[in-house]
Amino acid sequence: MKISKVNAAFRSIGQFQIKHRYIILLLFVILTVICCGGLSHFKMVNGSEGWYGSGDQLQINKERYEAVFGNNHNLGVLVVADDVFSEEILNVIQRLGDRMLSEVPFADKLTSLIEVEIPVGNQEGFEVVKPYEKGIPSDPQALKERKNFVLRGTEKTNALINSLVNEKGTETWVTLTLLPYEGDPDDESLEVGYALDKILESDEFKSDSYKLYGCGQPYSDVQEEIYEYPDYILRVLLGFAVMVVCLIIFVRSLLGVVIPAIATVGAIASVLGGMAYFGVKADSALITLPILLGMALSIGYSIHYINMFKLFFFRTGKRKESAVSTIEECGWSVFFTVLTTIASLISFALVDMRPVAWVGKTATLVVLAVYVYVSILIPVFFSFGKDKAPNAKYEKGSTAVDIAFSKWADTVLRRKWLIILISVVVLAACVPGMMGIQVKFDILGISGDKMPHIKKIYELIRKDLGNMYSYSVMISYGEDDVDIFKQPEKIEKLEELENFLGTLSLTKKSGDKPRVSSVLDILKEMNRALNEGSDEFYTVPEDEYVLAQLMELSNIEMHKDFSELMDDEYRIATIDVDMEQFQSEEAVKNVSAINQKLAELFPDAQCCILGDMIEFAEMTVRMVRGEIKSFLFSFIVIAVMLILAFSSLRTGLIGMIPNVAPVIMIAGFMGYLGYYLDYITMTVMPMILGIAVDDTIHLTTHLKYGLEKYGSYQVAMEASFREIGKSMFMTTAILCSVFFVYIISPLHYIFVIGILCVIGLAGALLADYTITPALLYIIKPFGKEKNKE
Amino acid sequence: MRKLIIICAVIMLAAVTSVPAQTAQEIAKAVYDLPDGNTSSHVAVLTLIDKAGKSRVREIAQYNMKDGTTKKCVTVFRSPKDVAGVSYLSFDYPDNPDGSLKDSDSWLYLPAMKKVRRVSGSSKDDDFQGTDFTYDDMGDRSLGKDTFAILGEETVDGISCWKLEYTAKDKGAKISRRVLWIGKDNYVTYKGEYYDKQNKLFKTMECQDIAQIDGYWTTKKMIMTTLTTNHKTVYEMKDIQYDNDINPAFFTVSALEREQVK
Repeated sequence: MKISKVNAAFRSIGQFQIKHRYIILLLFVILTVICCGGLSHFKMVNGSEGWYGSGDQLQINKERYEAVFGNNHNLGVLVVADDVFSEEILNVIQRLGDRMLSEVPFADKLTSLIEVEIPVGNQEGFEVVKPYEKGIPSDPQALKERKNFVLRGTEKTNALINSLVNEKGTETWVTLTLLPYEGDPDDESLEVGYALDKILESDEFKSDSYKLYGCGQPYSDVQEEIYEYPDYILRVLLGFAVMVVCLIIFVRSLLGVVIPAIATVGAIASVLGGMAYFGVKADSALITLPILLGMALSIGYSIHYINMFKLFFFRTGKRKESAVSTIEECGWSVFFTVLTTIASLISFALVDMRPVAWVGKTATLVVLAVYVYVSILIPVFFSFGKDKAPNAKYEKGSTAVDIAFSKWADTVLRRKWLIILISVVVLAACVPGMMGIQVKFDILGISGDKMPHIKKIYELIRKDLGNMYSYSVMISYGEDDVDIFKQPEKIEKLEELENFLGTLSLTKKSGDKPRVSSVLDILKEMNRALNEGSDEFYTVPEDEYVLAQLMELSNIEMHKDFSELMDDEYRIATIDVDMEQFQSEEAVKNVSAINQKLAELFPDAQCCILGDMIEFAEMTVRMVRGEIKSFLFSFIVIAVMLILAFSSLRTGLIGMIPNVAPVIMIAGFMGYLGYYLDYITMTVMPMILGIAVDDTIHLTTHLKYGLEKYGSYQVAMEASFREIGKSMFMTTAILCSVFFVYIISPLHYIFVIGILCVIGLAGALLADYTITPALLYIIKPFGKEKNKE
Repeated sequence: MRKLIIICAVIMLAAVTSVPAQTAQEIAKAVYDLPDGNTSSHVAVLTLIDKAGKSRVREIAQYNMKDGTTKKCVTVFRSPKDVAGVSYLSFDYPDNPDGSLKDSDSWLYLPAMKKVRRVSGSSKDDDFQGTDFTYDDMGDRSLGKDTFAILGEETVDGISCWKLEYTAKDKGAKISRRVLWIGKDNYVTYKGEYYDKQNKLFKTMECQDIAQIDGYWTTKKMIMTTLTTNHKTVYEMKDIQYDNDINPAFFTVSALEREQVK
């Protein structure tokens, strides 16, 4: 591919641009205004709700579950006090429950010490007792009696102990199930979460004698909005400030700061607004990434264009001509770097997870839009104004720094083998770290422990009853198998599965009781209540007729509770499990063990796992697959692009070597620093590959051009370093400065992205100063040297 | 002077001939007091339909008797076969003189266990036999639980109705407000809307096949739809009899034990 021909094509584009600059400006204004109008529809999703698309098996299973058992969201508040059975705390529980029922939208069923209904058997029959139905007593003796009643028996014979209330009586749950959402589940979930937050933050519940810990997906999402969104906004504002400072330092003209700033903001706002028109919701955790990336790249593109314009303008003094020449000179090289960056970003679309796919699509569009805005608006705006007389200063040539870079090229030539050796050693040292990267995902882990809401979650999960994650196992028989769970052998298997789930490593245990619940708890309670309250009947009946009748009776008498765990046709059952903590490797093992057990116990049923466990385990598997796919895709596409651009297989492949080096460095650092590969950090490596290759392209293009001009690799390399060595440093410094705003974030995952990006970008620059020229010297990809000057 | 006399006469005539307007409280009381015989019996087919359109049918036989101010009722399941023979006996008492509610007495018989168990503690707010109806919807909700207001007048299927609002006094009640369309001529309920605590429409009731049987107004078919879950229950009555000869022994625990009531 002849660069001169490509440049000529860009010159024609430039001429068109300048000729029709008013129309182009008008079109840009109209386009930007229309697209920005979409920002009023802009919405973000957070939490795990948006991780999997509608066609995903996990989502299909979830919809099947919700069709039978209703909304799988619920809310919980853990009340912690010296004695939750004291009059004061019981009143708190009552007021809290009343407010949750009346203020939380979609409130369905409240369970608390005040609301709990306990079937109690006696000689005459059975009674459904609400311990505080007639009010909370003030008399200490009456309070004690009720406490003893609720905590009667042991955790083995009392379903409430270490489930609703801990055996010490210092912790208790107030839980609220929700009715199905009617409109947009994301919006309605937030309404629910905000309602609970309002209650918990109200003065009514501020006290030193107890603590309230809210939980549940809607509440967690709202906490994220309250505490994390301001940080995202701060990162973007800081990024913008860095961008302006960089432009002031490197461009030093008012127009040179204002136009790129407008172009960048316009481009990013247009993309986000345009996507909002199509109902695309942004991922909150990754929202800053395309914005900061857009800003960083925009500065780089702008500096190229503005410096080039200045060069031509000072040489010629003619504005329009300088603008056209700028497009001619910069057009292809900048566009090519845009293409390689896009190739790396679009690779995320291959990942089977919505946030990563979203960041891929959005960042691609942002980079493209930023390029279009900068490459069109800067020459157009700079073409306005009066012409000036040429300035001889700009004909003088290189600065001292340029000369120093030129000398560095000579040093590399002399020490090329040493450089290769050191590079190999450094990269080899990164390999053990790379091998030690753990694929792990944990919302708490990635958020760190500096944010107040995360600190509170850590406190919550350390409590006897506290837990953050949970999952369900659904066993579903076909439509012809109505009443199948009335068969004692099926119920026995359900019990075997329940016991098995209780033994798994991630299952939360309160006291010695695994936090696993199914319809068996209700059946046991009812059976005991129907048999004079005798603990020996705290079992599931073995007789089929008795069991069938007990199930029907339980469904009728305790319909609300029953219907949350078994369908009305007695062919779909679910078991709920609270999790102790989340470790992705353990989750993968637990999921595998559960699936094996399900296949063994219910071979003829359709079984699935739903909720946090499977979503996180699946995410772990998909992260590894996604990272490999994404990296290979961007590697191959960029390599092909380099090969085509340089019309040389050898050059293309050599060009890739210095760009794989920073990726190996990132991976090595991740391993050594103990950073996990998760859905956020996995975006860094392909992205760095896409950005890092830009300097390699610039350097190689200049070398090729210099070789055509001077005929000598050494001279061409010296000339290349003299011409672009400084700007390579400048663009990397700008990118690092922008990503540095991540490093000062209190959110751990944002901090990690910042660190990894800075390491990657600095590594890429180092590689382009060392490995790239050394390899080019050694391999001489553009053929033999000609006349040496 | 003659004009004045005529005007006064017209006013006086109008005052004499017009029916005094009923208050909301009076209408609610008339609905509550709607006669239903000293004894009655019917078979009810309960069809529970989920949002996917799948239905499950239960058939129950119900016998009612008034014994002084006590309302006695026996309900026997006829199908599905697993619950056939399961029966409930309940005694409902009028409110205490101070207006407070008096707990009812209930017994349950399970053929599989051959046992009668006394049941207490279930709330009138609870679902009736796992349907979309509550015990309150099925029976006579005590007037003392609500305040009343007439929201207007509307026609339902050609029947002129009052739109009567029942607002629960208990602020924590699951159903905070009911709006019932009450026939002006017969005090029969023609349709209903039930609102939750957030005053959002939660359930709707349609009443069909309303006719007089043995002189008593009877709603033969009621459809209750829970809007949030899109689940509905169709309650259809057949073999309806009033003031019939029902053995008073049916309303005893021993009758349950002997499986006397079918």
